[in-house]
Order: sequence, then structure tokens, then C-alpha cells
Amino acid sequence: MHKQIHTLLVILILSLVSGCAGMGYPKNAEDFRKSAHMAPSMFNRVRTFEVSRPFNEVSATLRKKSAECLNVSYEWHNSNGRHGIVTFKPTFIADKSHAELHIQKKAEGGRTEIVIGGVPEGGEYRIVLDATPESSSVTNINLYVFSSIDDRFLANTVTDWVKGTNLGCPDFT
Amino acid sequence: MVQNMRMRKFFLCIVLMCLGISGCASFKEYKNEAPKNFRVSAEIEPGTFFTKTTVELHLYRMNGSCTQEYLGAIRLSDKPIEVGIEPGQKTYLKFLFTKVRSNSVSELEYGTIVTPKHGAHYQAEAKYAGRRYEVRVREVGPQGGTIQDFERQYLNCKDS
Repeated sequence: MHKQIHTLLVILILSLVSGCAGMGYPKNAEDFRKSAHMAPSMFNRVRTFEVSRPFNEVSATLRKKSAECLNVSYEWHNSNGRHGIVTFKPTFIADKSHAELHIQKKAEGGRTEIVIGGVPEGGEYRIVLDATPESSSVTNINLYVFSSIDDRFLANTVTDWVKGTNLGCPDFT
Repeated sequence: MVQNMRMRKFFLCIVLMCLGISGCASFKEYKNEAPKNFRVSAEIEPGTFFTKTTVELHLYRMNGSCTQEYLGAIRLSDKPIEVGIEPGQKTYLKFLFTKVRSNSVSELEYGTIVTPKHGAHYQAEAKYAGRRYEVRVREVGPQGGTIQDFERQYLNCKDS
């Protein structure tokens, strides 16, 4: 037992010394973008692609679908008697030449996790999407995605929204 | 002991699946008596032996911003159903997707509010495929063109 605590302490000290802890968890969308470049292994890569739709349409779709589909919470129970609530928080920001969607996820209950530096208000950043006009009919997309299976599912959903190929809401249950 | 627990869980799952599939849980059928002004259909991906998704439309008469009276429900299928909702009656339409799996049952809701106008016609479509759901409720013109889309609405009060 003492040996385990000793090992844990050594790992923590090494993390602090090496600067891992200093990086902490992304506190905002800009931190999240930077983290994707600094620690790509934690991310499902940065997806960069173009869609053949005008920027205004892409922006309008993101605004509508994020409000419609992502202001959700769900409660889960498992056979061990544990339960918890997961809440998603979308933030959509846009002007004439740029649109961005941030998706945060807050998990309450279930297992305990230690997050260095704490979790930002609204939950952990899981996805950040940036859209900018390339031409009158083409829009550039940069999509930053965390690495879990659910994040990839969410990333595929927002990718279909910007492409206009599937406007369905994700079922997180 | 562990085997007994497993057997109990197995039977519980079977019971849950039966309840979900057969719909023998309490179900109040909507009295579809008003002049038909809503055409409702669903498109649900085919289930497997272990998973089945169904969708129901639940209707509530509303007063103010909260539901007041539960009117009943209709099970939806790919065959369109003609539904009558009293014109002028503010109605909360709740589409309830139920997913029954071998070890769990989950539900998700999509709601909107419609006050049908005299002589107007409406259409609603509910879809579920690949862990994505989509509902569209709209007022349609004589040629089927969209006059108005009804957005998703979340109620901030308990059903009465």
C-alpha cells in the first residue's frame, strides 16, 4: 500500500516537473485548439476539409442544429447500481466571415476523475469547429475532436450537418 | 450465487424486452375524433434480434406554457396516419423514441407546440437511423409545400 502511494507521488512530482500538469485541461476553445496541436495523440486529429455549400448556409445550419440537438442531458444507470447525468452545452458564435461551434460535456456521478486544473464551467471541451468562407459556394472547416468513441460520433454528426447530408440529432443514450 | 444473479438479470431483460416490444405497459390511445388535419409518418431503421426502436406520438392539451391534459398517444409506423387535432387547441406534440436492447431500455423525446388553424393542414415525420433521430413538423399548403416549420421546444414544467 505504502509502495503504491510512493509510486503515485513520484509520478505526480515528475508530471509537475516535466510541465504536463502546467498544461492542464483546456479552459476555453482556444486552449482546446492549441492542445490539439501540442498533444495530437489525445485528439482524433484535426480534421480540415471543404464543403460545397455557401458559408451563410453552413453557419445557419450549425446555429439551428446545435440549439435543437445539443442542449440535452441524459441520465444513465448500470447494473452495479451506479448512475449519473451527462449534460452537453453547445456554444455558437458567428459573424459574417467566421462561425464556430464549441461542444462541452459535463458528467456528474459515476466514477471519480481527477482533472488537473479543474474542469471549465459547462464541462470539458470535446469538440470545436471553425467555419470560414473559401468562396461564394465553398466553406472551409477545421474540426478539433477529442479522442473518445462518443466524440467521434459527435464529430461525424456535425460533419454531416456542415455538409448538409444528414441533419439528424445524435442519440447519446 | 453469481449464476443466480445472472439468471435474474437475464429474466429481467427478457421482461423489459417484452414490455417494450409488445407495448403492454400502460398506453392510452389518442381519441382520434377531430377532423383530420395532421398526416404523421415514421421511418425507423429495421431492428435486430437484440435491438428494436419504436416511436410514439404523445399529445397534450396546453394552457399557457405548461401541459395541462394528456390526450393520449399513437404508435407510428412507416404507414402514414391521419390525425385530427382540434383547431385552435394549443397542443404539445411529443415524439417518444424508445430503444430496447438486450440489457437496457432508453427513451428520448422531441417536442414541439402547434395550435392548428381552421382549414390548415400539417405534416409530421419522425426518423431514426444510425443513432440519429430527426423530427420535422410543418404546416403545408394545398400542393404540399411548406408554409411553416415548427421548431423543437423544451417545456420547463412537469406534465400534469
